[in-house]
Amino acid sequence: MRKASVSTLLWGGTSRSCVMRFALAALSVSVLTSCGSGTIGDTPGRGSPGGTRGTGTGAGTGTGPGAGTGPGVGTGPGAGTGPGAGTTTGTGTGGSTGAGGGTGTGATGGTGGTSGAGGAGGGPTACTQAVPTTSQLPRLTRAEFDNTTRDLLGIDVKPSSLLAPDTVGSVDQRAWTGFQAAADSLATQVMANPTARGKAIPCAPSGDGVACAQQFIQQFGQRAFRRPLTPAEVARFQLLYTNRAQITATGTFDEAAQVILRSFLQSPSFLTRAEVSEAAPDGANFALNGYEMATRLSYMIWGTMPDDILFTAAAANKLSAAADILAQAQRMLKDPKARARVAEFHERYALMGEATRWSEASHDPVAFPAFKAGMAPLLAEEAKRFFDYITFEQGGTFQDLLTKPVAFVNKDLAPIYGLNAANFGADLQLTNLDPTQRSGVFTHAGFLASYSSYERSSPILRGAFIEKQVLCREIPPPPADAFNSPLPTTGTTNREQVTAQTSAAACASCHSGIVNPPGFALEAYDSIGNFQTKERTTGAPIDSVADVAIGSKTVRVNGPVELMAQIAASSEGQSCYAQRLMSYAYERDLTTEDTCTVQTLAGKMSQSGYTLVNLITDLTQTQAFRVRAKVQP
Amino acid sequence: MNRRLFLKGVAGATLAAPFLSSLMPRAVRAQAVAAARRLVIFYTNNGCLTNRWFPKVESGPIDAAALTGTTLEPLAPLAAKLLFPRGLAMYPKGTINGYFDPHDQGMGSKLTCAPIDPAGSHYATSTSLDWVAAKLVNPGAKSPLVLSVGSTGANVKGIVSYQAANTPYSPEANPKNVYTSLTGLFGSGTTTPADYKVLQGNSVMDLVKGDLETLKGMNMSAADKAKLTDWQALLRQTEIKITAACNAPNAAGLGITDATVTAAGAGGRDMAKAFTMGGDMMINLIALTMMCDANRMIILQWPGFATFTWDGMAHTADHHGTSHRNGSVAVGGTCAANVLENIAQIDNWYAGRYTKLVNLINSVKEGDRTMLDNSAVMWLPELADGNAHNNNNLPIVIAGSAGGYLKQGVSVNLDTKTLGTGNSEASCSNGMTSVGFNTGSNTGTVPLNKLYVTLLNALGATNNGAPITEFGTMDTSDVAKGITNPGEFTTLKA
Repeated sequence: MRKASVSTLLWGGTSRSCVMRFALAALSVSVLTSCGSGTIGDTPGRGSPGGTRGTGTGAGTGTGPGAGTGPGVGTGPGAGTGPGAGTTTGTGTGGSTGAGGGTGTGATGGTGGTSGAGGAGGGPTACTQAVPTTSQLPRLTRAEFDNTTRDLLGIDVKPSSLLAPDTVGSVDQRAWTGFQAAADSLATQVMANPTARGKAIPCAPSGDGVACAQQFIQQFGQRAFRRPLTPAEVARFQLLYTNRAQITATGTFDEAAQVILRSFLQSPSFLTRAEVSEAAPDGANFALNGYEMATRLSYMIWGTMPDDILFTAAAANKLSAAADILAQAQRMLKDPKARARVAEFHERYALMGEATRWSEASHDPVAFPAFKAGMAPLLAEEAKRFFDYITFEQGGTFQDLLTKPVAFVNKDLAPIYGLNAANFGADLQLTNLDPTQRSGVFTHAGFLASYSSYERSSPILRGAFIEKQVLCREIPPPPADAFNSPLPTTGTTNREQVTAQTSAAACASCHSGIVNPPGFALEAYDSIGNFQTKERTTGAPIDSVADVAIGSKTVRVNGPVELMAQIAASSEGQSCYAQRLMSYAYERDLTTEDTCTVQTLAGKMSQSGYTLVNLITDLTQTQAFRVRAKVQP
Repeated sequence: MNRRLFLKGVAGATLAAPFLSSLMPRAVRAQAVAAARRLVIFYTNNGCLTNRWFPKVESGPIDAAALTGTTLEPLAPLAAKLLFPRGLAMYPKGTINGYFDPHDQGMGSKLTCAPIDPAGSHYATSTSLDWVAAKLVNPGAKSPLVLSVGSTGANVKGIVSYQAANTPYSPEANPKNVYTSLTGLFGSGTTTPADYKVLQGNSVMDLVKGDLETLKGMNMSAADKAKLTDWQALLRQTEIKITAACNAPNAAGLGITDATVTAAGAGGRDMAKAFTMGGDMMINLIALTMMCDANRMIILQWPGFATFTWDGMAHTADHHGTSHRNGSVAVGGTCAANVLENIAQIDNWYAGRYTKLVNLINSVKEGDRTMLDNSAVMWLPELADGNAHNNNNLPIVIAGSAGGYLKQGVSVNLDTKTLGTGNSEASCSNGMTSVGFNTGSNTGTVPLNKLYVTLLNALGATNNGAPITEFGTMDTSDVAKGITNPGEFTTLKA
């Protein structure tokens, strides 16, 4: 197992048994099954304090009027005040019963808690969006560093090649060396480039240059730190200018300016997007100030620093009302920078990128002459064009990603789609595909060729990807001796061999019902993505009928097109996409406190006409986006 | 004169007496300055053809003839400076805490001698040798220098270095960064540390420290505060120091200039360029780093998933698939065409890189010795055989004596029985089918931990003045037993 993503896919979980297990993902998935018609009982059941005289056991009755079937759990503490201790945890069950109860057992005269309120009734938005505590020092990622320095300095040189891989822990030596090297390199390049120098330094120095240096520090600093500098900060940078004779070769204005630029670009206030405002405390939360909100918006939608319009709105305090934020988000999504950011999300959604199965796809050149060495970038480009087309050109939905029978094809890809290469040039062009054979991005050559072995297709890799990445199912790692289970030579077809390979009880508990079936449906495509009705090596007919696990249901599909339709329509597929998008947009792992937010967004995705652009815009309207939780002591 | 003033006077006189040092012979003085001992680890993935790799002598003196015809033949001229610690095995092995992936384990456990986490990203659960060593022997406890070529990430399959449990340390893959961090140390012969560059560096650091201090004044979580504290500690480690051999002309002598470094890093995602130009430059930069004494703990790792299409090789499957003998991620099945010869090509190519590294380090004079004599340069593999995925009877070679601590020109069987050289050519010799697992050597089970203990002592690391006796968290197959066999290998000591 060398490919980076293999480990994430096949050997990622922790449990030994293959019961359905979901982490956060699952929490919302299971809740979602009732979404739209049921009730979410996340209102705590409130056990009333016990009285002074009791029977020792008090049973509460839930009062929640919900009519749904949501499995919400409310817990409410009650307190027995009799001589005996009452333990009175009420358990409210949301949904149709709305039954909650507080039971208190007092030894003598203690009383039980009485009533526990059941889950609140209502529709799919009945839950209350919570705000998890998040880091106040999110650090610029490599991509954000590239974009930010491009917009701040006006030179697009991708300095992230100097940076360490993205991590969320402390800055270590490797990361710090990278930041310093990048700052050094960028400062040198800006001063050598008259246009960039003019953008950074807004004045011509006269006299001792002190006045211009100060103007430069204040104006450039405001954009670098994404907020106005404090007087103490201005003085700190000004000191570099004051000491220019000692700290530069000849003490000129430009030499000092270069040191100042270098210092800004390696300052923690530039490298982290600190959120420290403690304005408008509201119970558990602080409001973000205008500059912090401008920064959240611009990094979420653009992956870069705010533009002048956002800075102006921040200065005028026009970024606190939901409607103002919405209007900015809608404006920002029309900018090409948003497309690059969404493209990066989809790259992660499909587990593409460097050191993944996509970048390392290789196939036996004798068996698969249509797959050319060095084709990996073309396959990635094809997928990126498709994602961008659906999201921005089509105004498409999540369902469209998984079902549209179109692809971007050129002369090299045409043969894989059964098309005549002579009709295509080197450029990728939007092409309608046979809707009985192709349905969305996971039926395209890129995914199929990447999730295959060198010489044959891999139902296990493909199936595990669908279940884990697209449906957010947690699958425990295989037993230790799984490595010692080579593909048997008995059996005719690839499907039969894989079935035999995974038939031992320890394997079958996951493979037969969960991992293998989506992969078997995708056996309609060979190792590089050719549609096949007969197996290349044996001539045996392809069997792509499979009983696929989607959440807790098992659904029979007759092949890949039905498989994709089922996933697209499933609450699990929708919720999984919403979670991955939200995690990416907010740049953090989700927590159980995000459940309601995910569920609200995923509920909207089930409505027809709810586009991916709508979904992204709505990510700026959540409680978690608009405020910051107070730090828990 | 009161006692305090008197003592101050004596101290001042001693420090100010330049004639004292001139009483020492010139060579001795240089030796005294250059006595730093270093450990360099050359780390490769996916095992090798062990039966071609090992020298012909299992136990006893190693000369050029013992290497002739083996993968290590290019090292024959340096045979007198080589040490083969034979019979070592990595523990943990196999399923630990319910999880097993031989590559995750080979990467994560190799330098930590600790299990990998069965959950999450499968990171190692303890600190790796390089961090332990760096903390003990690097001035200012500076972080180790961990290098790679190509692109790097935080996936367990690309990480050997762990700053702490579950804290992977991604390797540096850009030669430019290594170079930039060294140029700040360059002296121009007569220039003193007090030149403007040093002052400028310190001014910028003061500014960064001020920014961190401001942020620390804000209310935030303990986790966020810890990030700021760690950042501050990092700045304190950055101690500017210049050694005599660390200058631009010497760098240029190694082929390291601004232009060549930039060109070497320009390969980007092109693996052929990254492995050849990038790899050569990393080797040069390791030598320069040692000359500048900028780091005494260095790792150079090579990514395991590259397809070898350079220096006369035209493979179609990547190294990992090739090591499985079938070109695929799966194990077992039909052998790919010429697969053993392809593996041999890869092994020989790496042997060439290792030889270049050792020769280069040996070419730098330090007093009456070479830099290699003051160092240990170890080729350490992720696995023994890439198809068997075994981690016992490990092929390991160490060049250099770490300042006279280690034996030279010898292979030492640390086990009690004959080891053999493994079964790497047991299948696929005549086309046919590869067996896969369980084809590995069944000998050589002495815990690798003890080699690391030996190396830490060789570097001059101590446990508050006492010799180091333990490394890692386990040295048998049983995680619960912890360390059962402490101490170093006295049979490896000169």
